[in-house]
Amino acid sequence: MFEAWLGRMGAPVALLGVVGLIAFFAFPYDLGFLTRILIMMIFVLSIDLVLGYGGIATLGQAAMYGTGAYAAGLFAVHISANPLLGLLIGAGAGAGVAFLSGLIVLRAHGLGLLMLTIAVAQILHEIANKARVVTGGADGLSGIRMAPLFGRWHFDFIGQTGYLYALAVLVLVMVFLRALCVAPLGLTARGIHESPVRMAAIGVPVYGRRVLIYTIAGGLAGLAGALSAQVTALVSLQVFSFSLSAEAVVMLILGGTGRLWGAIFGTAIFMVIHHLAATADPYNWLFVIGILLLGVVYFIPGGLMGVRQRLRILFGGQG
Amino acid sequence: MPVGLGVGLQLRGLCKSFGGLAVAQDLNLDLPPGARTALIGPNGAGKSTLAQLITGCLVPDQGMVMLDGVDLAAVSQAARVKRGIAKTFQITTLFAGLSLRENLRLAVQEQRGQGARWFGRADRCPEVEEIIEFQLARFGLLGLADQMVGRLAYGQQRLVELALTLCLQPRVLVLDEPAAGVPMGEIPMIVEALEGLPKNLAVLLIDHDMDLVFRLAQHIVVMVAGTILAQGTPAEIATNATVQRLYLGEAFDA
Ligand SMILES: Nc1ncnc2c1ncn2[C@@H]1O[C@H](COP(=O)(O)OP(=O)(O)O)[C@@H](O)[C@H]1O
Ligand SMILES: [Mg+2]
Repeated sequence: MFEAWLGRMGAPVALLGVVGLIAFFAFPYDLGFLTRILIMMIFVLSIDLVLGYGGIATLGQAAMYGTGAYAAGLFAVHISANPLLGLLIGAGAGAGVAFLSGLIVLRAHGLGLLMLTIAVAQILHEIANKARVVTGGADGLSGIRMAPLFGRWHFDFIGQTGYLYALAVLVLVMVFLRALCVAPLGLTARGIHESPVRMAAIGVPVYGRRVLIYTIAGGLAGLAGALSAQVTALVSLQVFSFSLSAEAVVMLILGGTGRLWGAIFGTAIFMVIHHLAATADPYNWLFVIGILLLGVVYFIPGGLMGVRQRLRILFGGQG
Repeated sequence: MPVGLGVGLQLRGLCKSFGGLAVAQDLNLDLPPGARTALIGPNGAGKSTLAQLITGCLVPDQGMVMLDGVDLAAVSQAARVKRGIAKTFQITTLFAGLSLRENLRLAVQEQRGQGARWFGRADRCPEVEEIIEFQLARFGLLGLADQMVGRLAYGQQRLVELALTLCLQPRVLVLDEPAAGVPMGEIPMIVEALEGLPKNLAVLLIDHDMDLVFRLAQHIVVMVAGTILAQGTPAEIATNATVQRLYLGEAFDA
């Protein structure tokens, strides 16, 4: 029973871990960049849960990411340098903000909802900016020194520990999300996405479930923020920026919404292209991304993960 | 034992207006267990509105919806479903991107209070799957269980409407034009399904199709412009002069 579960759930995720390890050895000098990709993947996964599965329109997921980053950063500076505790704090803070803001913003729908999610992130941005004494304001929060992971592995300059740490967290998040997606709550999220009206008619307290999903995803976003604070030892106001939320949504659409692997691939492709294009031509890299996105939206509306499905339909056999 | 146990659904003095348009004016209706009551009336009479007032999807301006003598004013739509009030939709409203089985699973898992679980596989609960199989079999849908609902033929989707609602194990069932838009050839399928409904279920059947109504209903309520124009047994309604003139005219001349 457990082995069967492991076979179904474990194998693809194990593959993710293996690919991550290969990258670790193949690009030893780019670990900083690769770590950012891994963290971004967690963040984009959190948006996939909200937007792709729950159908909740958001452009403000950075609110939870930023809260997690500041919470973990402040926790490390003032209370404990234990990285795992810091992660929990970051996730808890992200979930808390998602829950409280969700109670309000999820009363709205469509464009109104979209605006409110942006507003929440903007408000937090302003608070972090004004509360200089606590957050360091525009200078950012510095002075974060993490204790060694499990008291053994130091966060080194090349970023080896940071990379493997982020990879491990990503794999765990992926295992969690794959289990969640096939659990009753995962089906509920898809049902709400398909038809909130019908969900209400079969007795589902739709608003409450939306808040629950938003809160779980907020926890994951907070986790990503906390990771970033710990690995880079810095938190800047950027963590609350609109562009962070928006870029992450673009990555998700690129890869395909409502599919966990869509978030993974979309993030990897976006960030690698961004990296290469920005190195080749610092001024026009957005052009490349724009064209890519246009192409995807026009020709493969399901995102890159939709390609597989399309091919399957093309070459006979059913999805 | 609560006072009103077993009296079923009661509507008392229900009123509802949209702006200046009164779509429910002092409506009274009893729907005891086992009832087979039909609600007929021209388009725009307020039938679907009444159905939504019963489910709690709309809030009445005045009046009461009671179940077993208990006023449901403070009971949310979701909570009413859990007390046994369920409705099908006039316009098919399903989870088009999910498989038929997943559609029913959503209803069953919610009915059993499992809809918010984070753990365990939704498709591995034997009790849930048993109910799904039972409902699929009842409507002859077993062969389509793994099809995406959005791809099913329209008549089949109407059956899914019914199956999905019956998965909630209701005590009061409101059917809003279950045969609406179904091709002639597929109507017998719907009639058969409706005839097979549990005997003690209270059914309020809203429909235009007179064959269907006269075949299934023991009691008929005629609604026009938000008011109840007449009610009685099928025989009484068929011979009621006002009803004939206003509503049944062509159907009976033909
Ligand atoms: N949400 C609404 N807002 C405004 N008017 C509505 C609304 N719902 C229904 N109506 C109007 O109320 C009247 C009754 O509608 P309805 O209950 O759907 O009638 P029926 O189901 O008997 O055809 C119609 O004139 C309709 O246009
Ligand atoms: Mg109607």
